[in-house]
Amino acid sequence: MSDDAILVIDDDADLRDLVRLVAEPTNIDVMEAATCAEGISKLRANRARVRLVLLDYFLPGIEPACCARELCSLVSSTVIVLCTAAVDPAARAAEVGLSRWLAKPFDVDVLETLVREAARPQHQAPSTASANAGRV
Amino acid sequence: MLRPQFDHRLEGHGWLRSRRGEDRSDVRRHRAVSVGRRLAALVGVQVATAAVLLGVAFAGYGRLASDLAFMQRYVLARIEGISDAMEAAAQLRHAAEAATKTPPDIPLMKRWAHDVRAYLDRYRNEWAVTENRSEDALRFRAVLERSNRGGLAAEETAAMNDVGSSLQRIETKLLAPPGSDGQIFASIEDDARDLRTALRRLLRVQVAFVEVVNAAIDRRSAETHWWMSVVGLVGLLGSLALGLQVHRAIAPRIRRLVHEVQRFKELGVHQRVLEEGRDEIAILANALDAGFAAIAARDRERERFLALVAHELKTPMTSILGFTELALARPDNGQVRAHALDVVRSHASRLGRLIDDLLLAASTRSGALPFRPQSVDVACVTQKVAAEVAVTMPGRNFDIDTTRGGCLLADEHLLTQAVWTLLTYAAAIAEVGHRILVRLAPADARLRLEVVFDAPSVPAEEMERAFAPFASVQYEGGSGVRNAVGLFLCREIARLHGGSLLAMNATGVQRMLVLDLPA
Repeated sequence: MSDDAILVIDDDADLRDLVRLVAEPTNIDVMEAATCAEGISKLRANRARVRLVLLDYFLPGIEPACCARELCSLVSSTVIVLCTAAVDPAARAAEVGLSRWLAKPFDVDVLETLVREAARPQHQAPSTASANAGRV
Repeated sequence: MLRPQFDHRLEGHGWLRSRRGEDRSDVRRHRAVSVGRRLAALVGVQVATAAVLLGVAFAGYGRLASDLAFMQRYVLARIEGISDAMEAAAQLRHAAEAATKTPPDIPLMKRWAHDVRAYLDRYRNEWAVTENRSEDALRFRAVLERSNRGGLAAEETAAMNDVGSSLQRIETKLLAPPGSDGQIFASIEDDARDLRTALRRLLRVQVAFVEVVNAAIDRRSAETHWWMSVVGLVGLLGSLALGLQVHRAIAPRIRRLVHEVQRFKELGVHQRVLEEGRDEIAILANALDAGFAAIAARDRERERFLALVAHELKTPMTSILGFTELALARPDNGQVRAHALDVVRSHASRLGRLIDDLLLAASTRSGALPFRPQSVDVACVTQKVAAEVAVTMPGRNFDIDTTRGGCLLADEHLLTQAVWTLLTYAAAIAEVGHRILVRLAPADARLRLEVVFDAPSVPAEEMERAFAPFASVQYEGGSGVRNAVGLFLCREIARLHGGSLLAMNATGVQRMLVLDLPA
């Protein structure tokens, strides 16, 4: 088990699969959650390991803002990126209180960059969301 | 929780924009009385003015006609007679003068005297102002009084008396026996001269009478003109005032409406037109408001729909693009390539369905839906579509019962699309984790495709709204399943096949969609 992990919270199994396959060459675990409740549970259990959270905007059973708020309350240094296919992803990110977003459909290179950044030692990784605010 | 996006709340419809104080006061002032009533009042005033003017004219000119008739029969008629009497008096004087030279024609002189007597008697009986009790005489005395010419009546009496006394003397002398001396005729000549003088005096009185009556007629005419002018002026002022009121009640509000229409046309922004009254302008403004609100709501709905369509198209594109790049980046990894191709095929299929859905819905709206009937195995179509939907919507479990299915004369492409829309919609609003029952049930030369599912938060009435063109289902923290075009296309395809699509409550929290087609 790696010291670092990525948490993918998305009800689309193919997207979770894609992230897992992209992260395969790196030494980082990918944890998958189909619902926000599941994601919160996994983040709470692995908050020390999780470097990056990819959060889908639409999730079953909870408002996007509530989900983002719950996740933010659990971790302070973890980068949380909103993944959305909405027309205005920046507005959606602002709506849920996040400063970083990934607009669907995204380039796999962008996803790989995110995963690699998450796999770096913590002192080299982007420290806060504000450091790289905006589209990732 | 799923929530259909059919709530057509007219956002922004309730707030009022600030207005200038004078506009507000205009509205308050003018909303009390309707424009129709103001116009009716205006027309009423004009009609009343015309009626009063006609009345005044009829009354005034009627009295003038009466005065003229009175002058004709009472004043002018006596003047005609007096000229004959004066002529007779002149003849008498000439005959008396000639009697000193030739024998006088006494009978002729008596006839002349008789003519004067007849005139005098008639005058006394018919025209004498003071002695006569006729209606005309009373009226004329009143005219004289009003004209401060009452003295003329006394002059008339005096003149009549002079005429009478002179005539009496002539008549007495003409009754003397024949053969009297010439002094008598000289005396008759003097009397005849007096008679003529008295008649001339009476004539002057008549002329004065004519002047009095004429002045009275002039006064009456002027009076009529004055009243007509007053009524006309009052009517004109009333019409102007009411016309101004109508103008003020209509013009600023029409200008405001035109301004709102132009603003809506230029900016596409709808702000409620503040018309709180119940008159015609307010009705027009409210109709415009409703129209603008409907257009704005439709615009918002269209924007939501387009956003949803974009979202729906981008979601499968993410997997297609991502797995394609992954497969290209790892050409040696056969397992990844195979999985990627599988994912790409699945999402491309879903993408194709969505695009077909949109294009067919658009064709339906324009009445150009293609229809190529052939024998179609509905059970086969249902199983194929259910399998397809299940792949693209993980977590949705379909129980398929097509054992009682059969073949229909239908357009396979359209029917497949209809079933896909139906199942996708059912999956979108069904409770997560609950099973969706899909069964075929033949009945009375028809075939029913029934889709039964649990959706406690979406009653059948709410589902009915999905039949609107381009209605969309958007979930708020829902199951991750969206249906871009609702059930409009499905119902239209059913109609095209001579069938129907119904949404109904089944039992408890169960809802049922029934696609009924002729077998």
